[in-house]
Amino acid sequence: MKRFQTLVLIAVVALLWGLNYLFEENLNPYVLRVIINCGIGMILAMSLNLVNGCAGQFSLGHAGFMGVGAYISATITSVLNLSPFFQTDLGVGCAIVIGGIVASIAGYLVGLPSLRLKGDYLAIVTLGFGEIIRICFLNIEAVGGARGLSGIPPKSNFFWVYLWVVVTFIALLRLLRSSYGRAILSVRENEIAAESMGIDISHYKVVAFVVSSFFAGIAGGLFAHFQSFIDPNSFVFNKSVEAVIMVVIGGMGSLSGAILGGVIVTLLPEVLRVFEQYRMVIFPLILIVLMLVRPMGLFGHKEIWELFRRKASS
Amino acid sequence: MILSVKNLSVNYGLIPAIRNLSMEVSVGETVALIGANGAGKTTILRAISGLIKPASGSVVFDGQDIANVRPHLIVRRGMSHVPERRGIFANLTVYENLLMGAYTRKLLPGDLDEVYALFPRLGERRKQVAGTLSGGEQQMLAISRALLSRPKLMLLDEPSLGLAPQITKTIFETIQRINKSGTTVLLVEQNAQAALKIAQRGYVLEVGEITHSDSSQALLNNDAVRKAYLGDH
Repeated sequence: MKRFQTLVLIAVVALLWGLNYLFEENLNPYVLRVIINCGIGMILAMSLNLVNGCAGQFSLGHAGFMGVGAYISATITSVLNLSPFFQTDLGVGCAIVIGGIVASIAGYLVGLPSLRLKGDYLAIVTLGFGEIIRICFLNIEAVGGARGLSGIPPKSNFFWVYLWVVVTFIALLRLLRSSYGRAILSVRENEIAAESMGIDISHYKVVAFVVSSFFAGIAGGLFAHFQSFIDPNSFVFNKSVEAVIMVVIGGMGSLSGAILGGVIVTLLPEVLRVFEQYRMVIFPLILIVLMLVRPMGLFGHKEIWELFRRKASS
Repeated sequence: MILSVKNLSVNYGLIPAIRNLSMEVSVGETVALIGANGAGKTTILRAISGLIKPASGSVVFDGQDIANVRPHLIVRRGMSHVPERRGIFANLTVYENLLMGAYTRKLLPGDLDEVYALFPRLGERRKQVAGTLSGGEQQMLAISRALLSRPKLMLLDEPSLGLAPQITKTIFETIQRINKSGTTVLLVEQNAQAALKIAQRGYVLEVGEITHSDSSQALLNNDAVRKAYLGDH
């Protein structure tokens, strides 16, 4: 089984590598950009899903963690001038991981107030945190302040972004399937009951925040090295709301739902470009209709394969 | 003595809910704590299992003071608490709920069979999402889940809440069986009659203070208690 999994993994990596080559040669660059943005959206949605969907802690500061990852990784590759290594594919990859780690430290600091706060109050604290991060970058001259940071090596291509999508998916799926993951779910379900089962709910809330912000930081790093330019406006409150919409549309707690949500929220505004100035009227309308028809999100609490299995058996 | 509560006081903000309460539970007993709405029954259980911090007093469990120990650590010492309204994990399956019950230890192969033998209904529904169970089945699940941590002492908060009399009977019979197989039980109930029937001793609680403490038989025959809690006029 283990060997089978390794083979599948190698096959997936090879497939991504091949697709990357194929897409760069044959695909319209605009379409490829949208596809890559979808990938970044997927990572963002899957990571937020862990906190909002699985642990049941309403966070509105996800763009902040993304910003930390983006700025830290971009600073390493294009401000500090540490070594030419950080201009290579591998070096950029390392920088992005460091960005993720710093973001997870930020996640730890925000996770702490979540121990005492619930619902709306937590949302306000995380929102405030996201804004604080943004304002910090706005005022640090070394990273360009309001002018933003440009000349970041554009190393995130289809291959790297989707490799991270796969890594995020596998990591979060394995986490959720473990007893660790069930403990996180039980915090969402009923905190008092979870405590009376012997579950340290404070620990699991913080773990959810740390893991979630790590991957948000990765998404930020990929974003920075894809756009090759970032400014504080890339990580405004709207971006956090977008991430929440992705999770809600897909279904709170559903990993495959988050992937679909990430695609929908990234893709729809592009597809709707044909409607020109009505685009931003139609987009929210679609979201409203979607929520009216399926208030629990597209997949509810379930994963896509569970939905089909249920239908097949009944 | 497995549990000994001494001079326990609990406040909600400035309002005292429990004042200077003392009670004891011996190994192997079933003890009922009965009282009207708002008497403080749930508060006492929560203070014992660490879900709320007492303002003063001591809670000695198995020889150690646990008054300021965090709840998830108290579970590891062998006390489990079936919370009021059952507190099942509604979106998880019956099986997953039971797994969480054994969170503090390694689940052995026979453990679940034991639970399914106690409540065959749960075995039939192990793949079902727990929120879709009936109230009685949810109570069975909550009790089984608490049992899977292999407690020495089990705290039960109103197991009869919202259940039909027939199901209440089944639940109480099972509690009796659990007690006979060696688990000490502290039971909080509004349904005094049912609780005193399976308990050896009882405490009667009124607005945060214990007013009567006696054997179940004596409490069932006590005029004041009968008047207040057993619907006797």
